[in-house]
Amino acid sequence: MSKTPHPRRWVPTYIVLLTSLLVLSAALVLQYFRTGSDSYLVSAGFIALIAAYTAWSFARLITLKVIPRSLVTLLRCPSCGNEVTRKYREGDMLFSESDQCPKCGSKMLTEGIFLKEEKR
Amino acid sequence: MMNGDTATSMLLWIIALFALSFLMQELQIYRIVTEVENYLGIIRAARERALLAAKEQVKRYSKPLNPEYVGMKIDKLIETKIIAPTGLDPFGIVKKLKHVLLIGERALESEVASLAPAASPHEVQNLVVLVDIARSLNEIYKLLNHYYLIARRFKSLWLLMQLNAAMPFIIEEVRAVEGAIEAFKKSIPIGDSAGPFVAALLMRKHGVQYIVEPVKDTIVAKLAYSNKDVYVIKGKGPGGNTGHYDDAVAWVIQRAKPAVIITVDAALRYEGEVSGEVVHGFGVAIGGTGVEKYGIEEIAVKHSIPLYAVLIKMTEVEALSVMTEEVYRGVREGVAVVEELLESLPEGSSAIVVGVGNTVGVPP
Repeated sequence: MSKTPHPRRWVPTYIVLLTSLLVLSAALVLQYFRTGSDSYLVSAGFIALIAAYTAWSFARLITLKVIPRSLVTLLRCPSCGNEVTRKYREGDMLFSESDQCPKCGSKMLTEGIFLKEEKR
Repeated sequence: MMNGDTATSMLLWIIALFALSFLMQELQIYRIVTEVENYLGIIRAARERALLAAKEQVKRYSKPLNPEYVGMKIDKLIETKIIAPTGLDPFGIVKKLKHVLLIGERALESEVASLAPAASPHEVQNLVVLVDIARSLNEIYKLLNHYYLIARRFKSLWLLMQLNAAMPFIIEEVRAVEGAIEAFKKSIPIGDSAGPFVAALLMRKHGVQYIVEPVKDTIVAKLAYSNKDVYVIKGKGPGGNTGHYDDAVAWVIQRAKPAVIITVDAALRYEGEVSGEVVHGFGVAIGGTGVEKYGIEEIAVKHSIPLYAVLIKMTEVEALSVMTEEVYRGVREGVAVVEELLESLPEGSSAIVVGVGNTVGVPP
């Protein structure tokens, strides 16, 4: 299955950007205390605003829930009723005979093919 | 009294504010244009992916035809249009619409079959759906691009705002349509296959006395049900088609007097509802153009047959993408609900169960 790129791939970018902005803002505040020039303080405030916006976007990104799903085939044994779920294999078709039953050795039937939530 | 400096400063402020009001509007237009362009980029990419998938899939079965010729023919096919009949005189419009849709369907199928001579009939049906997906995405993209270009040409902020507001919903639909590509390539059930899946499970569970195909791509199976004549109708499968339920119901009516017609279909759920939930309904549960719904309603009214519906809830994305586990559980529950309805019928009566939806990956 082709997968949509996970939004969390942007996490490292956000971390680098946020750290840089915070360091820059702190450096400007330091310069203000050293020189007493107001322009440093104004610049620091401006950078801090951008950092706050970045932090807000970052918080939204890391709280985003994407549930990964994988394609599975549900097999059912017509003799003993045993049900087995395994990863989908190319050529699996509904109601066709598939693997052997691990309990009684009979041929199992494909009862369903669907997307199942992956366990973490 | 103001001195000269104050007056100049105030004048400059007024000019600046006046200029800013125009600038703000220009900036807003620029921001919306950028957003709409981004959305259009997503839709264009989806269209390209769908077209590529359709071409690749058809070319797998197109030997000995020239691949370039096949590609060119598919480019032409996705541009074809279905022209709805005129509504100036609405009398008999459903029959006209059915006629036009049937011609379009047959023409597309024969074109695709001629481009993929090595494909089996059910593979041809899946290829037809893939071409149809590319056609739908092409249509959506072209229409939105048209509105976008018009809005830009006239710098219409209101048109752009409307387009921008509608885009998230359209993107959701595009993603849903795109989600179907994988399913049709692999021939596995989608969410919309829930109805035919219920029908197929009923056939497997109770056994069938006979299966016939009285209408093209539509099967009627008489179940070996205890003391009741139960006729199950579904698209033939496992190729992707929806069948012609109204004609199949008419065929059954000529041979039996059903006490009830039960339609089983996927239904769109509201936000906050659970996918796979099964609910009862009254009436004919068939979406789409309404042609088949009309046909079955006509028959039911003429013969005074009650219409029951069993609905399996899901989102639009789930309906068009590979079936999810929640929907699958709904299918299993749907079988039990239909059986309950059949059990409640008096002994010796007959019933029709119609599994509505695309039967991709669901064999009879």
